[in-house]
Amino acid sequence: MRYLILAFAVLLTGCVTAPVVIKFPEVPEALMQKCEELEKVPANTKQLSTTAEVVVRNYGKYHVCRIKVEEWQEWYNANKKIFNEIK
Amino acid sequence: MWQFQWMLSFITDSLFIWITYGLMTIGAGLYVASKLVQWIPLMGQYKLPAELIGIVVLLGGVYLFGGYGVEMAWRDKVRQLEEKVKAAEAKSQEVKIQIQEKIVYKTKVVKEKETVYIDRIKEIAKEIDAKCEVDPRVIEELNKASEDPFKGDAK
Repeated sequence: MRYLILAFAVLLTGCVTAPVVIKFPEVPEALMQKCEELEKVPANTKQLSTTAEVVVRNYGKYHVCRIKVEEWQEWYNANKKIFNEIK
Repeated sequence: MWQFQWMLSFITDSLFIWITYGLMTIGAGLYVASKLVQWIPLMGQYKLPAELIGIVVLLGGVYLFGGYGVEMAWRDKVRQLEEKVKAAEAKSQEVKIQIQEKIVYKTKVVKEKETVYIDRIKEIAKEIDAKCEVDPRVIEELNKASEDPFKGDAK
């Protein structure tokens, strides 16, 4: 039995994982920033122009946030493709 | 046993084969010597240890010699994989830079357009403010809608 264990232990030296380490890819810093909070219209504003300005600025914030989401998706798909090619 | 493989990985390819040759030579040498010492006075006591150590070292050498091809094949595979990983990391870095540049460019375009629209509103501000007065309740609801519905919630 002792010899059998020894034989198995010797044969098991082949069962070692390859010492290759794949680092998790770095994400662009801009993608790690949170989306901005939406701006509020100053209270008691009666002017449509002021309200419209705030709305336009908020649309801008949405577009910037959308860019980040779309680029996150592109970053993920690109990296998935790159690292799936390693075989 | 992984420690054994790990230690082996530090030995260079050319040194590895010489170590196996060395072990086999030492093992065979010890074994042959163990057969000869019985004729040398006072050396007979070393016969058994020399024979045992010789066999063990010879077997170890033969084992490593047998595993040499396999070890080299694995080392080659690891080398190829490391090259692939390096290439992938470089590609990933390229993608990162491209995306970073795209974000900067697109954000700049958005901000420029935003300024254009706000300037246009400012141009016609007097005219539209004269025509329409916004009810404060609209502002109140608009501001409420802009709030994060999950603000304060535990994530």
